[in-house]
Amino acid sequence: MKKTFLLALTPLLFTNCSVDRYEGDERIIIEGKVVYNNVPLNNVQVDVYPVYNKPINTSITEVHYNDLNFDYNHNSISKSFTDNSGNLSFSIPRSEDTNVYVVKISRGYDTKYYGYISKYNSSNYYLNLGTLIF
Amino acid sequence: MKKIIFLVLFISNFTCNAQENTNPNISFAKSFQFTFGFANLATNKSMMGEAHDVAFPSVTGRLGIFHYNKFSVGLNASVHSMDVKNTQYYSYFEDTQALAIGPYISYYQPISEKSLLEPYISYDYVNYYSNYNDKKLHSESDGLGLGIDYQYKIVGMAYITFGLKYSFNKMRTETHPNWEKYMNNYTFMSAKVGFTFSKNRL
Repeated sequence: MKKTFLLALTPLLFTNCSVDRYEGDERIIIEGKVVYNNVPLNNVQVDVYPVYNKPINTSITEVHYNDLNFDYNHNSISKSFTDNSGNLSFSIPRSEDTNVYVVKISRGYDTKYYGYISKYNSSNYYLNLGTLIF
Repeated sequence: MKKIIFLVLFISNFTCNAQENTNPNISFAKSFQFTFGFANLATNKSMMGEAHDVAFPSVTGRLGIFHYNKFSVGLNASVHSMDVKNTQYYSYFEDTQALAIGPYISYYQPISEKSLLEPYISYDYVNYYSNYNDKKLHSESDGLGLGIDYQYKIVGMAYITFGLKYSFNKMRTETHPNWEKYMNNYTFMSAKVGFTFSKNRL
């Protein structure tokens, strides 16, 4: 009987694990700029993904897709666009599972990832990514 | 829907049969209100206000528990759902459900033989639940509500009710000090229509 009960609960366990949960009790503000050949890129899509990588330093550099450990759902937590001057500005709530994120810049079919946003390089809930060269 | 109708009938029946105190100035559970309407109207420039569309329907219930003369103290609760229209600062979600509950205090003033005004002030503790593609976001806020209801007696203890409320909410979010005001200060207006069941008012 006990085994049957535990077996019946197993699907519930998997269902619960597949949801990305966020809490609005903390929000990090992220700002920066995207350029291409020293020209600001306007209206390019900026997504943010939670990842399970361990940052080795605090600098923001381009990272390769194959090196990223996304979660099961691979869901973007933030979606925004750069303004006319190529500036990006958004906020992300606290993930219950990880505190490391990467930024994905999409221009047409070209995409590049930049990382990592983490507690090591954000100060007082703020991080300036600097200029991201696309 | 059946459950909602049953709940409304139960509470209005409960209100009808509420205990009458020997002191005519004091009574208990003499008033109940149930309304539908809009919320998140006339929002301020804030993360929550700019991120969300107008909420419809907004369902509100209010139960007066303690009454002294024309004053009432009780509990009010509401639920509304709103689409996320701007994901820039709020994050990438599709819709948000807001569940509010808290105490209120009101004072009614008859303005004619069949109608009255009832201004009130409330504390609203709100939980927000946003969803999209296997993602969930939970947030909380504390709010002060200032509202006024116009009630017109239609029959017995039933009044048709029109109301407006302005809510001043403070999100429970830690963020950078320069952004604190934009992220946390959230104000909006609600408009509602429905019924109030009250004894011995007009």
